[in-house]
Amino acid sequence: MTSNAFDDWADRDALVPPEPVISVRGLTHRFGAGCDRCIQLTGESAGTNRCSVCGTVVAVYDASFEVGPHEVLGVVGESGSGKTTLLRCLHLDLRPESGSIRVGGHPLQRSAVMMVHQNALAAGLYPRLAAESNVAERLLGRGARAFAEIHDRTTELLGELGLRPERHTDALMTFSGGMQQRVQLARALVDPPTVLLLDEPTTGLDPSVQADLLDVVQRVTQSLESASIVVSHDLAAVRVLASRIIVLHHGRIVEEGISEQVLEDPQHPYTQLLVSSRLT
Amino acid sequence: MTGTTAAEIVVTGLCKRFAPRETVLDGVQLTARSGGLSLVLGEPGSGKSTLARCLSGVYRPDAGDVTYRLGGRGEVTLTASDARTVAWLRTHHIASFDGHLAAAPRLSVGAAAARAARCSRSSAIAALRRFHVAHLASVPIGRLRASDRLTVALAAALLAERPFVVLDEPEACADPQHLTRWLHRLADGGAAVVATGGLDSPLASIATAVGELRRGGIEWRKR
Repeated sequence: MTSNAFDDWADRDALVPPEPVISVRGLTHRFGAGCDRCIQLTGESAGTNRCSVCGTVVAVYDASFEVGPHEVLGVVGESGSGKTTLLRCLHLDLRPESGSIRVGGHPLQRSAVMMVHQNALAAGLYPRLAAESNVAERLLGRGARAFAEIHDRTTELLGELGLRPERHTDALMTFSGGMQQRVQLARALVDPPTVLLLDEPTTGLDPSVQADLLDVVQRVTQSLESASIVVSHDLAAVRVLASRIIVLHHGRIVEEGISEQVLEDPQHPYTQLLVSSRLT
Repeated sequence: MTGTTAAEIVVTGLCKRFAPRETVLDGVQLTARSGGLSLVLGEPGSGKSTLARCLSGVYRPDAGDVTYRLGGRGEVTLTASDARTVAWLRTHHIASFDGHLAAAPRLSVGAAAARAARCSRSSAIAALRRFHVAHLASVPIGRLRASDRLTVALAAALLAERPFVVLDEPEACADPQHLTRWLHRLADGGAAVVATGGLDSPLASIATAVGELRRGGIEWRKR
């Protein structure tokens, strides 16, 4: 028996998972003034998330889930199902109408969460600055001051994420989407967040870049102690990255399970449709 | 492996139905204990893979319980647990082989096996060597033939050396001699092993319990 493998399970003294890093309870967010019948007139039975009385969109209703350390939760669903609203609530870009988001028992703080966006501008990166400057900026923000130390660390991080050294000094705007996401991940590694959010990490990239990026994202999420939440349309990517999946439809979580379970034995009719619509 | 942490897998009244087909599993009973290999044989289509997937948490049974016990560390009934607990068990306590390894397609075979088993790359390559696929260690996993990919998935599952092992027809993907030796080693280390196989499975010679899956139930020949 290899000691490595033995230690891996022998050191875990419980058959149940540790306390979650992030705990979301009853998260609800509506766009619009709302009325008494919004909840009743939307959702699965109504077949829409738009209230037919007042026009309010119930983007997310009563979402509850937990994510533990080193764990990756996948969120899937069609466009308009509430994925982005959920992510924006978790990133505190939107203040949820009701429900709670707690980290370690306390309300979520912005400093505890980081989002890797589909595009660099949305992530607050500087397109005219070099890749290494974008990473260095985060190091400076964390108190690093020695030039050599900052340079060495940025070179190391960008190298770890597969960016060739000759590109480190190139302006970010000359980078492809996949490379820009690597720079965002390098920034995440500077000061690992408690909660890492990944918004469609492989969408809009060509298949070969997607494949490379999947490897990078998996390496980063497994190395961090963070709770990671990945939102994607790409079921194959979610299967590689996430151990669990929640399925959103009309703003409601309609199914939750381990990735293999949701993708191979879907229970909800919408999940069955989603899974059967995959290109093979 | 065990000492004070004897492992046990207990299955009671397991039923699984795939609409609109008839019932595949109907009241399956099974107990696998530390140091033993419980082998479930069956004709193609008898429900062996369904059973393996119910045991490893991939399929949700329609009825019955699958319980994992680990000595003084307690027990978890998989079928009554939330998804987070099932994911935790699969990551840290259950080694399962029931299909392809989900991995980034550009990842090398050695790295993918190491990542899946949570061990070093050198251990992973040693494991691949035992199944005569070490020469594939640096090949991206997305370029493997389906049969080689299954062999890599099996090596990764066995390499993980968890206290609970669930294997679906492993003999189809590995040299029987090496597989037998490896399973012996796992059982000697205290793992509770459940495997499925064809009616002429070479694992029958080392199994501590052998049953045949017929019409949804297991008829035990040797216990």
